Amino acid sequence: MLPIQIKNLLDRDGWTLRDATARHRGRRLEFFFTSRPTRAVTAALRRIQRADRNRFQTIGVVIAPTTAAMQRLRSCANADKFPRALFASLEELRAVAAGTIPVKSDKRGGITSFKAEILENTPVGGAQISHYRLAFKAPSLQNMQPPQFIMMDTKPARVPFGVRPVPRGQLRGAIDLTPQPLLKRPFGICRDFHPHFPIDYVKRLRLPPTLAVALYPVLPDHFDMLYKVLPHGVGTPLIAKLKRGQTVNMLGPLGRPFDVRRLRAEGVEEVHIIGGGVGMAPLILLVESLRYYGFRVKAFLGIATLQSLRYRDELAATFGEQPRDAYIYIDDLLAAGVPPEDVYVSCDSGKPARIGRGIPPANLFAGFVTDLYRRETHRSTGKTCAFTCGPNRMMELVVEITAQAGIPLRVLLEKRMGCGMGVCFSCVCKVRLADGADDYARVCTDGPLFDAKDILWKNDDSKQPSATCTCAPRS
Amino acid sequence: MEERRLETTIGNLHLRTPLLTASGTSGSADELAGLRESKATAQALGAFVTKGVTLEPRRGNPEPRVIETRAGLLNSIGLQNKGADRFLREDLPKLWQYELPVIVNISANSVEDYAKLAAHLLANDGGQITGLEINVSCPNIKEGGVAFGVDPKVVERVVRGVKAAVPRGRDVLIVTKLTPNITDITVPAKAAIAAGTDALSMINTVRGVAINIHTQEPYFANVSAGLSGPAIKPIGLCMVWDCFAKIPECRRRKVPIIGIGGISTWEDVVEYLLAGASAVQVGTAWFVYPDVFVEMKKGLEKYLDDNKTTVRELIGKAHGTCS
Ligand SMILES: Cc1cc2nc3c(=O)[nH]c(=O)nc-3n(C[C@H](O)[C@H](O)[C@H](O)COP(=O)(O)OP(=O)(O)OC[C@H]3O[C@@H](n4cnc5c(N)ncnc54)[C@H](O)[C@@H]3O)c2cc1C
Ligand SMILES: Cc1cc2nc3c(=O)[nH]c(=O)nc-3n(C[C@H](O)[C@H](O)[C@H](O)COP(=O)(O)O)c2cc1C
Ligand code: FES
Repeated sequence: MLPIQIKNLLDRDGWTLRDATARHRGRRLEFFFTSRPTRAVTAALRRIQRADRNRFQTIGVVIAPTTAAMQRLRSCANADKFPRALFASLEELRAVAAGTIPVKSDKRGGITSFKAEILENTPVGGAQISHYRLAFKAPSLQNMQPPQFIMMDTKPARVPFGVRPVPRGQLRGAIDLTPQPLLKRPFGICRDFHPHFPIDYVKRLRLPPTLAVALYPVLPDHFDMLYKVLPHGVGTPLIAKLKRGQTVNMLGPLGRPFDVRRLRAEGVEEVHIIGGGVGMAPLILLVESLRYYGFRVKAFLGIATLQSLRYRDELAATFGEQPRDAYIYIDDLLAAGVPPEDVYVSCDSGKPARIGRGIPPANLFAGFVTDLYRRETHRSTGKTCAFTCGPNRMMELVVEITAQAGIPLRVLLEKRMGCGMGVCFSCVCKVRLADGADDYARVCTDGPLFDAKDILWKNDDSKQPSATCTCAPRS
Repeated sequence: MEERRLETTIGNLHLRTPLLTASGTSGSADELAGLRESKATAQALGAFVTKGVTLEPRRGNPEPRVIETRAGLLNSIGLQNKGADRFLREDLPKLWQYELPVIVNISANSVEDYAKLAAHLLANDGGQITGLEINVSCPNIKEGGVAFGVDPKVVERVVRGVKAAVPRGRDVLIVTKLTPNITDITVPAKAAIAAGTDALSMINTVRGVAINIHTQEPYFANVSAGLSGPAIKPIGLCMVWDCFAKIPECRRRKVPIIGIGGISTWEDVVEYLLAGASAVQVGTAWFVYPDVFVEMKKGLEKYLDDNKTTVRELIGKAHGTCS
């Protein structure tokens, strides 16, 4: 028997509960109680998965007695024992029924260095490639939460400094004269993948909103990042050479997590996401999380040309779908559950041609994303907040626009990093403290997400961070 | 017996292993605690050297603060720290939980302030500070810093002042950290010894410059910065060698040397020991590879087994053939 609390929660959302099944307009949640994997539960979940295929009309929910027990069950190592299940704990369900929204603390921790296996390193953008999509497998990163990031080596693990294996008799190639960056490079995570859940599951999933804050998918073990190869960069061109099957040393998860359920507690209903170019990449995981909990998300994307976003999506094959032509960011946003009418795209180079996918032509814009966003701010419904990441100039404009419209803004900052762990004080940005004084905060430990009103943008004694380093003579 | 082969001694301080963190690159307790492998790391360490502490909080230098170079790192952090009082209140008690000797790295702008800072720390630490490392060698602050470290008379006054600030009856290890930005490092080394330092640590970062060819101006607001990482290992090794070879107190290990500079692998540790270091500090390599201390300890143990020797026996051994 399900505790009365769950029934009350479901009632609020208009779902009816009978025995261990909740129903609402053809959708079903089937509840299982267990504190450990059992054959019977696995078999039942497998039956559900087979009957439902990927329509997400019927979903199994495994309820553990305590939150700690639930976290153990959710481990991606258990994914096959709980095929395509969501998880919950009685402890949390009771708290939710009593009116509290569970919000994880924003404390960092559990940073570890690990090896990631490269699954895919795909160029994006046809003729003028500057973006790559890198997919990797790393169960050690399963506890990562947006907008945390990783730092990665620019070379595969175990290639000794400067020397690479060469065939006999070809010693000339033995010494690798390409510059060897010492430091790891920081990157945001764009998507994470949960075993048994197709890439766009959030789009199909419609959970009872009140209950959703206490339901969790299995922990992810695949991750995707989108990165830009900098024209004068040293590290990113080397990362672009990584091949499927190679392993790379990484460090993570870094930075403070941001639990979007906190926004629910603040009464937020609509969230604006403003991303400039590759700045959209680390925001997409946040979008997925927002959509999972049922927030309305409007995404504003600024890019140079539409063509630069095209690529061949091979990863679809991993989920039994045909490889297809896709646009990075745009298809990611749609897969993360943003409805097409809430996706806005602006191109510096002129109004983008039809994208299709149900995105209304009125959402396409020629010019800067900030002008597009300015036009749309007054059309928000309900309490709104915003997130942005992109070039400095763009972020400063977004700060202005949101300040005028009275929309609270959080910004994701990118700074040059040494360690990523808070020890070297190299990733600083000037912030205003509660007492009015200003100070340098570390982006890697205090960020990467900051409240826009705390940041001192006009920072006269700072030089603009430059995209180039002194590592190398370049050919 | 097995476990003792890694042990070493600095002054009156027995260290479980010769591996120490380098100041400013190890954070403090919060950062160590953030690591999943923090226990294993703490177990591989002989002592913890804190980041530079000053009497008053310091905001540090403007950005950019680090630039990568080939095999190295230029930094211009400028000793950002919370100041002595918050260090005593917030960091020290947490560090103490790791059950490691804590050596506090201290910096100041004047001879008097060094003594004042030392006295302040030792009066309010509840007995938790094991040693002080006097930084007379930071290249990134305008006053003090390197300018102090190159003048033997000033080094002598600073060390004397700090020694005198140690409360009677307390045994506090005084280490003097020397700069490599000098022709003959044995000159300030001898001055520090004359003033009664218990040990020397060397080297701090090497001065360096980086220029942005696209904007055609220097990267750093202060123009020059401090170079660390693998690039400076031979320099640090040479300076340890010189002090061990030329200063009798070092050779007799009355004033032991803590080797620093570019140490990235267990092999580098062995080299420094052979050159005359009684212990080592690892800085930049820790950013690149947070498992570094755990791996170094493993590598060192295997080397000692294979060669049937101990850390103590290795110290200065390479000098045997070229005295
Ligand atoms: C928290 C965080 C998340 C990021 N997420 C992404 C992402 O999802 N996708 C993406 O394409 N890029 C992202 N970046 C920027 C990315 O780290 C840099 O573009 C990359 O490090 C450049 O490396 P490089 O070796 O080619 O450049 P070089 O100029 O050769 O590198 C020299 C040094 O400068 C640093 N650096 C150069 N440009 C930047 C920059 N814009 N921001 C920070 N450090 C820089 C490098 O890390 C390196 O230490 C992120 C940065 C941070 C701090
Ligand atoms: C980011 C950074 C900060 C540092 N801060 C300090 C400091 O506060 N006090 C100090 O004595 N040395 C400081 N140093 C110097 C290191 O302790 C060490 O002497 C130097 O980096 C050489 O060692 P390594 O090559 O192993 O890094 C700093 C070095 C770096 C890279
Ligand atoms: S990168 Fe070292 S403190 Fe942030």
